[in-house]
Amino acid sequence: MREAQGGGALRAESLDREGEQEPMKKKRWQNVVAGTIPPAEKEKATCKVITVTSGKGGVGKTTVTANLASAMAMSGKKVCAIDCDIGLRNLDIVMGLENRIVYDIVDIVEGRARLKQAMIKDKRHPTLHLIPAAQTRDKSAVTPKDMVMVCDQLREEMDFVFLDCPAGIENGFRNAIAPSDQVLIVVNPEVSSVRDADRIIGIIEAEEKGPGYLIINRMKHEMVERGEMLSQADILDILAVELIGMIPEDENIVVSSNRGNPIAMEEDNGSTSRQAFHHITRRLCGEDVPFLDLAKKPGIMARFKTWVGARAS
Amino acid sequence: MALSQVPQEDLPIRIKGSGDGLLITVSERVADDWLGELEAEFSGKPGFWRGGRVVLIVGERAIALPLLRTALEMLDRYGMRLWAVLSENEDTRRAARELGLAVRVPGVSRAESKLPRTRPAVREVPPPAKRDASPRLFVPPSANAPKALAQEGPVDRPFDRLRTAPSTGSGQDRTEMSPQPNLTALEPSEFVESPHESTGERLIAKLTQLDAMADPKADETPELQEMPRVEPRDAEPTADEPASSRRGAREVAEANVESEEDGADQPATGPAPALILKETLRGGRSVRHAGAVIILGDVNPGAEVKAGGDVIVWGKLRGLVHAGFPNDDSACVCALDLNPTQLRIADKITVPPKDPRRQPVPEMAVIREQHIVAERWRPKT
Repeated sequence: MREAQGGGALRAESLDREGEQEPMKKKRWQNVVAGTIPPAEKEKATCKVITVTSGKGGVGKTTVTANLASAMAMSGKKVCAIDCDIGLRNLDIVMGLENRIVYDIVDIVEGRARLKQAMIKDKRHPTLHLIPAAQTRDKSAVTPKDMVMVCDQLREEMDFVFLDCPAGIENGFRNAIAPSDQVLIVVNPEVSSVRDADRIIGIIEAEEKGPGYLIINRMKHEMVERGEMLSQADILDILAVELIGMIPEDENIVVSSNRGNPIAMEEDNGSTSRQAFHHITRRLCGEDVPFLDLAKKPGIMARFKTWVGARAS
Repeated sequence: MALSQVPQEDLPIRIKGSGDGLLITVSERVADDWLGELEAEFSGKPGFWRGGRVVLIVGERAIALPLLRTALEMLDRYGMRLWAVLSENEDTRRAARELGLAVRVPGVSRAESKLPRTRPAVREVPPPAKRDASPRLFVPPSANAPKALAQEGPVDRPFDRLRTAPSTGSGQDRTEMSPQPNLTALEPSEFVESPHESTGERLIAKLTQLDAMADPKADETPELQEMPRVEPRDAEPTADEPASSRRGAREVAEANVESEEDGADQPATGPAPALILKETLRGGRSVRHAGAVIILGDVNPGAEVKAGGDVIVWGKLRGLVHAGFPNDDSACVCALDLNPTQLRIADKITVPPKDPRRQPVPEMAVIREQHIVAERWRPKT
């Protein structure tokens, strides 16, 4: 698996971006690539702990976390997703694993269960795991130190750990960013979401977890063309962080969330949103993938397939 | 014998340090000349008290307006700012309100503000929490104070802030703008980083030094006028610059450098040094300073800047700005792209005009004829 990872990784620098400085390049996600790590160190597992946050609620953090974790696992990496929204857990629902929960993160933290016992292995993709949150407790049950401890244990076995952060800027958020190596900020192209994301980025920079990387979720290209929705440029003008993905508004995402089958897990039917998630995971692995042109609608056959697929099951 | 060396319980006048400032408690046992006694105490070490906020606690004592005004002036002479008076007496409270002072302090419990106190007054010093942003504007009255200061390390000199950009060193306190107890500052300045670290822990109702009290008689939020955009007037003669906060930062800095050596003897009046920040203020950040504020970067919506002097933003100003707090009408707000959510100068508030899509143009907002207007920058030929 690791060899495949090394072979698939592309160039460590991007030649077509302008105005780059050397120190900046080192921090870019494109440089986290097997190709730049000396061979001796390849044996040591370098796990990345990534927190998906947003500030505002309802922008799609849980959906993004579930889909990124699934897409990453589909490419062969060992992935664990952790739901940090204690008390209002829903990552398990979106991933379709709620019926298999026996222990949760609070059980790990309070010593009632070991890490391996609480980690649920997804039957569809054996390298995908989930540590669910507790539904009957609240965010005061876990401290940032506990989260760091749990993630440190996970680092030994996993390639990627995704943390689904709750909305807000209080303990839940602090818990979720404590162990993270990298923060992804999910934003909707609307003013209130951007405002909250700005605040979050400020906090992340102050906590020295920055810079974050931006995912714009629920883009509607037609509205942007009509000038009714914030464009990518408008959002980046205020937030001034690097864009790592844009996901279009897609009804199918709602359908798949309800079914517990993240859209990234479905077969490649040309759906742009599914592609967008996979592209993000490739960028997280260091590949330089050009952004999808959201203006282009998927071809008629692809749309037919999506429609049929949605109706069939 | 100095006040600070007498056991606290026996004192007719007690001075206690707290997060809300110096709490000066005048018990009913004191004769009418309590103000004279207080002054005698301060005059013993005139520079020692400089820079503090004061809450005056008088219990049932009635203090008429003239006496309260005299007290305010006396404290001001020693570099302290009286901002609240706690009393059960209605006349005293009325006098305090007339002078624009607070009559309630959320941090001081009602029990504490009543007299006499039975438990011994404990000298509280706010513990230096990790990234504690609440500045200590006073030094707790203690015979050991000089030693304590020596252990603090180099006193933050206002001039240093002008010279160096706030560093982004990892070990350093993120809110490096928060000054350590600084006896050489001309005026107190507060840098409040709200709340990267303090959600839920801070008293939300705390009145800070640069917060305006709302008009108690008003029933609704004030009507806000849009700010008209005007062409700049022809240059006015600038021969006699008034000694106000508009003095150049460099001059002020030099004045500071000279006065450092003198130690405690400071001129009672004078402009506060300017503050330069070389970073973008993101939403949620709050910068408050008694002098002018210069920001090399943007001010994002959700951030706020409150300055006693001018505010100059070398970037996009899209947040809340308040210059010339509380009543300096001559303050200006400059920005390369002036588009704040709300713009306030002294006691005037305005909102920017809603232009659909305009090219950003450097503008300066000033008060002309009692209104805030935005002047386009026009190079003087």
